[in-house]
Amino acid sequence: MRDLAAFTKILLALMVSINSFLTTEPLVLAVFLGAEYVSVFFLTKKKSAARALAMLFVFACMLLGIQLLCGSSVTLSLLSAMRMAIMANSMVLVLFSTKTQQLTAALVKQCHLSYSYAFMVTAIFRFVPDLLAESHSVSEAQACRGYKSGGSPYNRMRSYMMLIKPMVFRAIARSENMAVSLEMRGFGDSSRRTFMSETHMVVVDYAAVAFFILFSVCLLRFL
Amino acid sequence: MIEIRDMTYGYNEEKKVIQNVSFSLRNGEILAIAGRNGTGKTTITRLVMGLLKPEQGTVFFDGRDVTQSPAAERSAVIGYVFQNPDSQIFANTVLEEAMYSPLQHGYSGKQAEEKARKALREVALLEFAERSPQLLSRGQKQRLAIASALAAEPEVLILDEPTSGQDCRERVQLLRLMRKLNEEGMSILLVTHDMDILAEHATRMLVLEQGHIGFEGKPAELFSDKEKTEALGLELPEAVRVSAELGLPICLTPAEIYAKLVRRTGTHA
Amino acid sequence: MQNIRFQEKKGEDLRWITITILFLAIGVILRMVSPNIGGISLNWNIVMYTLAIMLCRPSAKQGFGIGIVSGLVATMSSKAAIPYVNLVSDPLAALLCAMLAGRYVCRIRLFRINLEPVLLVFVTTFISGGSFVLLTKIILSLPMNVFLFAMLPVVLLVACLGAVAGQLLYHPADRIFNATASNQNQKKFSMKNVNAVIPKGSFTVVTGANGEGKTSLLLTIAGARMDYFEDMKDSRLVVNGIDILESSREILKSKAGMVMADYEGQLVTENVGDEIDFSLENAGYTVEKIQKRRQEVLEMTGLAGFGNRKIVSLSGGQKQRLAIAVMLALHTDILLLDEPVAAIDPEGAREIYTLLEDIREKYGTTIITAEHDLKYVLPYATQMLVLEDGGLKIAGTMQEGMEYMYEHDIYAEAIPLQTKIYLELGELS
Repeated sequence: MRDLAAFTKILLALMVSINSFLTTEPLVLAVFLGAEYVSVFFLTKKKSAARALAMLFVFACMLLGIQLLCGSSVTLSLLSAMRMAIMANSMVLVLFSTKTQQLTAALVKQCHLSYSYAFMVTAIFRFVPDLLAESHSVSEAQACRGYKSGGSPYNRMRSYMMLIKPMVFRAIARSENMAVSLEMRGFGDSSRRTFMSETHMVVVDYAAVAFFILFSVCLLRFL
Repeated sequence: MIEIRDMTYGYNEEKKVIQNVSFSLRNGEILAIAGRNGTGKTTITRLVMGLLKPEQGTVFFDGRDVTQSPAAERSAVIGYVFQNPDSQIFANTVLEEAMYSPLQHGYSGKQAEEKARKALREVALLEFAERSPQLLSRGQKQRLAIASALAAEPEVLILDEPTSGQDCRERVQLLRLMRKLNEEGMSILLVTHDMDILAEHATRMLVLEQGHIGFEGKPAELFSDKEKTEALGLELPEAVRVSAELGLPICLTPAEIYAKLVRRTGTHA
Repeated sequence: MQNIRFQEKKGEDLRWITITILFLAIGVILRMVSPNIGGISLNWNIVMYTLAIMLCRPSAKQGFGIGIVSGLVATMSSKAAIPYVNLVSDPLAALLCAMLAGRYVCRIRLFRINLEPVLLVFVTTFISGGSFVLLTKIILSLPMNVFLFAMLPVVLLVACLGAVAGQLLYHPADRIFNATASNQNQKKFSMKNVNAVIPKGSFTVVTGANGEGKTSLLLTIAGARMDYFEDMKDSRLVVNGIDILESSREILKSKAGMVMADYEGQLVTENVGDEIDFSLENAGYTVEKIQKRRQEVLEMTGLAGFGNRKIVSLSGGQKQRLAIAVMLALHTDILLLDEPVAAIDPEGAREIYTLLEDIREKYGTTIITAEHDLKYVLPYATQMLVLEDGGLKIAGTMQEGMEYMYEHDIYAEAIPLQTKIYLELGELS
């Protein structure tokens, strides 16, 4: 899957999700689900992807349980649990096989999302590890002043603000410099922008999409 | 005051950041911790504070074993001031910020305010008590962080790179404050990579080297040995270098140099 | 009469973008680390983007965009049952939120407390969460019982928690937001008597205590426009032959690059190569040219071979070098640095300055740094500007500058000990 264009992967994920609603046959869904599990082996980050899929599997089982408890029929419950798993898995597969930069390039170039928004998505992921370290140092600093959490939900929320506020305040201060620096780096006018990570659809991509359509039609028609 | 015995700590099995380290902070001294980047200076202070649990070893406070008590509890007797004050400031006013710690330690609002005001006076921020802490300068924020630690009336203060981000004026003020607190009886554990500060203010120093203590003793002892200082990855303090250049006996502070120069030339500046 | 440099309006304000980025990143983290109450955790993403919208009051279209971003982030980071649903629920809620915020509909006061945050966060969270579970119910054809007695109550509870959090956070956040932007508007900062000529290929240090305008001076040269900074009166500043105060911002932006004191906030992509590409892509260079230029600047800054490294894995000194590389990619004429070594250890500090000197020598780049501590820059800088009381006190060689500081006791604390003693010895003898 890593050789396909980002847009192709998005397309495949969408198609498999839509397909899961075109049938009420558990067997067909099982085949789609199986195909997803098999494709994990073609990924570079097998382990972490498998772990994510395993978590979703547990989640699907829980959904199944809740429905049975609420009195749904076994088939219906099984159908919705499998649909959920198929959709969630398809997203995981796209994410684990594509670089964020490639995804945003596909979103801008092929899905016509405005570049500002695509940029925001990548930048958010860039700052997550930094802010995670910051949240750690904030909680250490507050622990050194006797911070303990506990008590009623409202009190807990109030004392939890101790940890959030310094981060929010620092973010506000930082956002001003960031805005200036973005402007200095020519951010804003996206019409003439180059996209280094743009992945174009080539023969393999069209073939993959065609194959998938054929495969699904056969499944939906003859099973 | 504080004694660390046979402390070992590692983020993973193979590499130990700290290995079998023992030292003590004596009553009323300024003990400085120095060493290359990544030698575990802040790991040690975090262990002392209880922010990290040691794999092995014991922490004694006044002869009591406090290894198992968490940081929040230890903060009643040990004040920890972090490098960046922005990572703790949350309140609407300076006073409220300084009151937090005593409130957490079970004092009533009135007592907490009293203690906070006393601490703010100590760091010369009392006139800003009703202001928003966000409008303070970087140096003032750092002093506020010190005041919030002082408000709990600890017996030991841990300062982690207390002068970072401050200009030379603010730095002088902060060091003067540290000295004053020390003279009033506060024991201080100081982490710094600024050898000038260390030479001028530390009673004793520890140099970490690959998880061990590479040197323990008086700054003058280490800095009179240029090779050893450099082998431990430290630079000589400016005063030491300048005094050597001027052909004076080794001086640790600018004041010493001036005193010796005046004696040599026989004039008064 | 203001100088041409300050007559121009600020460009499009990008603050709503940067606030949203940082707030949503905080939201992602809070979802990961925050405690839950009885198994229910707060949807911090919604609280955070509502706060961002309330602070910046973007247009409805921008609000919708913020919702898409939040939806994409949720889709890409969460383990939600149905990933795509966020792409509908978040934009819907954010659009509504931006519309309500833009018209100040929810600004209702009760006992002198502004209840806008409570109401707005509640409405937004409820709309977002409500449409999320409604869509989930329909798509997975879940039974009505599950929807009414399990899903909806949870949404309500989360919305209530969110509203409390929003109320506690918004007011202090707003105060800070306005303190940095408009509060200072009333008492705008301006400088006077800044007369200096900085020749091409020189190494200049700007010094003075914090708050004396070092950063503002650099920003002025870089062509950035800050709200709080008004003008330089009775001044003439020439850098590389460009009359800074009489030139347009466009020209300055094309000639000068500035590394900010918070250089980490300047780095906005995930890995080193992408970071350098970012500016070049914005400028619309061709793919081949970008690849070539990227290689060049990585070599210039000693980062060759780091192209694929994650930015998070770099040390402080390496990040600083990357920030320099980023600026060099587009601007080799003038490089401005605001306290480049303030947060770096002594060894790293020396490396940065050696590198800057190398760049100056090889490429003839004019280097201007702001420093409140002259220790590390002393061996390299040839020129010095000293700021105090909102004006330039002296522009000259290092020797002249330090003598002036010593004699007039202007920020004399910063003079390195060695120089100070020689100056004093001169007085002694």
